[in-house]
Amino acid sequence: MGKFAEVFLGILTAMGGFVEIGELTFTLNAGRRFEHALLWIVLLGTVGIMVYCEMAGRIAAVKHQAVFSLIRERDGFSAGLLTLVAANIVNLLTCAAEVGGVALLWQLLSGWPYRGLLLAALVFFVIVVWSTPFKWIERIFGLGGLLMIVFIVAAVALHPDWGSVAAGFVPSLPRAAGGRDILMYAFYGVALLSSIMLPYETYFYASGGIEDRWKPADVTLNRIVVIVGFSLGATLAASLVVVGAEFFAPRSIDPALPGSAALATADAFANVGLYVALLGMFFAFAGAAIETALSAAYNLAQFAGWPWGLDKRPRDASRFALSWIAVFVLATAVVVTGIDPVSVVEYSIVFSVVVLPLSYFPVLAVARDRGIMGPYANGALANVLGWFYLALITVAALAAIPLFVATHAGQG
Amino acid sequence: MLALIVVVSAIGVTLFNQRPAHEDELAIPIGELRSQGFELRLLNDSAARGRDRRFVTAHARQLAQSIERTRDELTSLRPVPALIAVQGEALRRSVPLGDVAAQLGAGRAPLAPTALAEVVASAERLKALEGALKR
Amino acid sequence: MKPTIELLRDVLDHDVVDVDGVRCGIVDDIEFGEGADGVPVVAALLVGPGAWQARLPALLGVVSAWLFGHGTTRVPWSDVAELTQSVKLGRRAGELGLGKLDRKVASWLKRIPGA
Repeated sequence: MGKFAEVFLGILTAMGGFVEIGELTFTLNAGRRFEHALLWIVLLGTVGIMVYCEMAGRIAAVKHQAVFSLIRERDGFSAGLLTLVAANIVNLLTCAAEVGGVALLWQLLSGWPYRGLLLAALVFFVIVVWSTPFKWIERIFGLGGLLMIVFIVAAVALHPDWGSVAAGFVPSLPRAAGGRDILMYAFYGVALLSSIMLPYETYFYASGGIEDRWKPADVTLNRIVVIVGFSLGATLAASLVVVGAEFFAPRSIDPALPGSAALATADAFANVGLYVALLGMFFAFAGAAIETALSAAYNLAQFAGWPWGLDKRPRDASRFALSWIAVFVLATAVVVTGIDPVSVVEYSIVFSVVVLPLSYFPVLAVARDRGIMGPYANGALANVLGWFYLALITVAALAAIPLFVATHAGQG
Repeated sequence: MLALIVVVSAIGVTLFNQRPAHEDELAIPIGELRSQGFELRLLNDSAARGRDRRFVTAHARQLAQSIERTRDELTSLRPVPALIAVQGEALRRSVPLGDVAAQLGAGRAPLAPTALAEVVASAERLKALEGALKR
Repeated sequence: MKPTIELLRDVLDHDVVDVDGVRCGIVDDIEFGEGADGVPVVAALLVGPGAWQARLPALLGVVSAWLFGHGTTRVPWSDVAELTQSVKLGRRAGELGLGKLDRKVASWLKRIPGA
C-alpha cells in the first residue's frame, strides 16, 4: 500500500494505542485531585516516549535488532537478566490489569459473571494472537482505540477554563499546597510520567518494526508516525485530565472503574457516548493486553536467543509462542483471585518507574553509537533529549518507592 | 545475606502494618466510601435520564463490590483510641450505600429521590469526616 | 571477517544464527584452547544454561541449575562463517545440536490447528 496510507495508519494506530487502563485511571484522578496542574507531566512524558520510541524504531530499521538483544549485548548477562525479570514482571502485571479491565467492560455490556468473563477473555486473546497476522492486530486494536476520541469531545463539551488548561502545561505546584499535598502531587507526577513512558511501548514498537521489516529508508516514516501519532495520543491523555477536573472533581467522585469513566461521556452524549466510550476502552485495554503479553515474549525470546515473531508459524518459533500464551494464562490467574485490576496496575506502574533507567539506557547507548548506526546515529537534538530523559527517569526511579510509601500507595 | 534481608524486611513490613491507624490511614477508606456514595447518585441520575439499563445494573453491582471491599478495609483498621468513634460513624454511614447499590444492582434503577437522599446525606457526612481527618 | 575481533564486544552475548538464517541461541561463553606457540586461541563458542550459569551470582546459579539444568552446546570456532551483528554459522542448527528445545516444543504445538 502507498507510503502515505501506511504513515496515516501508523499515526492512527499510535494514537489509538496510547491509553490503557493504568493511564486512564491516573489521568482521570490526576485531573480530579489537582485540576489542570499535572498537564505539563503529560507533555513531558509524551516527548520522552517519542524520543525513545524514535530511537528504538530507528535501531530496528537500521540494525534489524530489537531492544532486548541490545540490552544483553550492552549491559552484560546479569544486568540484562535483572532487566528482563523486572520488565517482564511489569508486563505481566499490566497484562493482568488489562485482562481484568476487559472482563469488567464485558460485564458492563452483558451482565454476565466476572470470573466467567475472565476465562472468556483468556480464550479470546489466545485465539486472536494465534490466528491473526501482526499487522491486523496492530490495526484492529489501534484503530478501534480511536473511539476514545469521545473523551476529547467530552472534555471540550465540558467548557473548561482554557486559560487554566494552558497554565497547566507550565510546571507548577498546586495551589493550597500543604506538605502532604506536595507529596501526593509528586507521586501523581511520577506515576503519570511512568504510565506514559512504560517500556513495553518502546519494546513492542521496535519488535513491531522488525516484524514489519523496516529498512533504513523507513527512518523518516518512523519519525513522523512517532511524533504525530503520539502527539494525538497525548491530546487524548490531556483530555482525560480535563474530564477528571471538570466532571469528577465537582461531583467529589474518584473514578476507579471503567464504568465510572463512561459515566462522564454518558452524561454529555447520552447512550451513544456511553457505548462509544465502553467500546473504545475495550479496544484500548485489549490492545494493551496483547502488546504487553507479546512484549514479554519478545523480551524473553530476544534475551535467550530463541526464534521469535508473529510472522513465523508457531511451530517455527515454538518457545516464543509458548511464552505469550503463558503470559496470558498467568495474567488471568492473577486477576481471577479477585484482586481489583486497577490496584494491580497501580502497583505495576510504580514498580515500572524503578526499571525505566535500566530499560532505556541501552537504547540511548546504541542509537548514539556511530560505529553501529553509521549515518543514522543520533544527531545533537536526539542526544540532548536522550540524556535529559535518562536523567529525569533516574530521578523519578529513585523517588518512586519513597513517595509510594509516604503517600500510602497514592491514596492518602 | 540476601535471605537475611528478605526476612528482616518481611518482619519490618508486618510490624509496620500492625501499628494503630492514624488520621492518614483512616481517611483513605472513608474517602473511597465518600466517592462511592456520590457515584451512586450520579449512576441513579443517569438511569433516570434514560441510560442503558443493563449498564446501570452491571455498574451498580461492580460498585457494590467495591463498597463491600472498602467497608471490610475500614473494619479491619485498628485506629488510635481518639479515632475509634470516627471509624464507627463512617461504618454506620456506609450501610445505606451498600443497600442502595444492591437495589440498583437488582435492576430497580432509577430509585426515587427520597431513597437517594440518605445516600447523599451519608456521602456528605463522610466527606466532612474525611476533611477533618486530613486537616 | 575483520582482522581483529573484539570478543567481548562483538561475539559474547550476540545472537547465533545458522546457515538458513534461523536463530538458535546466544553466545553464552567462549572456550579457549592452546594454539601452536602456546598463545590462547578461541576453540569454541558455548551455548546453553551450563554456560551462562557461571556468570550469575552464586545463589542464583544454584537455583537456575535446578530449574534449567546444566546443558551446554559446544560450537567449534571453525563452524563460524561470518561475524556481523550476529554470529553466523556455516551449518544448520540441528547438525550442531542447537535449537533442540525449540524443536521439542514445536512437536507439541504441531497438534494444534494453525501451528
